[in-house]
Amino acid sequence: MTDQTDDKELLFLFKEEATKESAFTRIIKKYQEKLYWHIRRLVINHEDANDVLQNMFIKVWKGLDNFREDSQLYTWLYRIATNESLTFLQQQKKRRSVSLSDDESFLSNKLVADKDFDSNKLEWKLQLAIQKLPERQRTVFNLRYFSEMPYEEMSRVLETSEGSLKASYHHAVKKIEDYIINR
Amino acid sequence: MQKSPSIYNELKELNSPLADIPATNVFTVPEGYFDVLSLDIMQAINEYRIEELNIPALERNVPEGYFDTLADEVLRKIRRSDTAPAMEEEDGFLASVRKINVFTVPENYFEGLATGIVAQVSPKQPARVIAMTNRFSIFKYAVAAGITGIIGLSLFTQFDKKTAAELVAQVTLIPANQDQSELIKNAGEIIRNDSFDKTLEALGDEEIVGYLKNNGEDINAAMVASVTDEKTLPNEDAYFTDEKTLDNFLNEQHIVQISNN
Repeated sequence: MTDQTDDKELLFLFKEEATKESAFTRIIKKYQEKLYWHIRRLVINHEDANDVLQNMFIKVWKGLDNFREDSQLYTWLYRIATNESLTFLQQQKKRRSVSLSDDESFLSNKLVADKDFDSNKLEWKLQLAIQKLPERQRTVFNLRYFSEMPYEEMSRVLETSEGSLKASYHHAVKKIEDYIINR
Repeated sequence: MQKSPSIYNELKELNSPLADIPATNVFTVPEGYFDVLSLDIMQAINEYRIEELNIPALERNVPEGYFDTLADEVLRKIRRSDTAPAMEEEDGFLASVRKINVFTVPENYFEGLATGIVAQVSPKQPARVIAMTNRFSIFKYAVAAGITGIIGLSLFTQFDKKTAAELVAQVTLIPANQDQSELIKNAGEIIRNDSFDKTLEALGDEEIVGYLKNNGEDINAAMVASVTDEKTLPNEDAYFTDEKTLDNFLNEQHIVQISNN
């Protein structure tokens, strides 16, 4: 169950020392699932997603006092979640010394390692196809296809024009089709 | 999971088969994960806050009122250091020990120390002394070079005044009373054949020495000048580092002392 309290009210409560922790707990509960799934689709593995999500919320705690309310809290949280996920992947690739030639298979291997992975199922084939996409197209496709985020909102999260996002999504869809049809 | 109409319609517009594929979430999370997630995150945040609070922990570990009296305490110590050695003030044991130097040095050690050090760092070998006789040799050599230049210059100036025959006769030591036509004839032959140098080379040492004696020239200087090339001369520093430089050089040129007498 998500907290339907208005974000502005939650931010107001967060700024009061007496209600700070309770307000932040409500912010976590309100956005945890959406953010978790967004992160999980990017980093694939649950443990990694959990680490990124927790670190992300700690950063939000540190920075929320300075959050400017001229942008939506929801947009700001998605932006942090996206950046943290992509940074995490970069660091993970560095730690594992993933070469450029292995870059494509890095995420596919993580996906195949999932206990529920079944290559015969279309939904898993779709996920394999998504992992073959470039980072940007993969992020846009996930936000649009699974999170069903409007382009206008996505443009604020990724700080990119709507036209560019539509083009990225279009390219991603075509690449995924090709992958599924030809495999 | 059914797609929202906007996502479905967009994929239909793209003629994508993805429109008909259900957007199933293939990932799962541990049971009850989201129920405790906020608690886990708040616990992590509180751990971070404790770490953050630990930074000024040093302030809490100082005695009560420490900072209230710190400035006065510092000033008090400064005043003490102005009037007495701080160590004696602070440490009773050290203050009770008299500052006596237990070490000694030989008598007058420091008086002769500077001289001794200078003597050690000075060159051990005595400076080279070049004998006046040898220095004279150098001067002689320099004078010889000058005289050679004068001889050359005088020959050059006389060349215009004297006839070629007279000049050749003088150099080749032909007696003055020899037939002039013969001299002219020989001189003309030398000039035509451009064999002046060859003729000079053909002259014997005794003939040249005889000529120089008759004309009062310094034979040694002339000999040095005649057989040396400027490029083969020793470096000027060599005269000061080795007193036998000039003697060695003359020996190499096979020049022996010849008296004018």
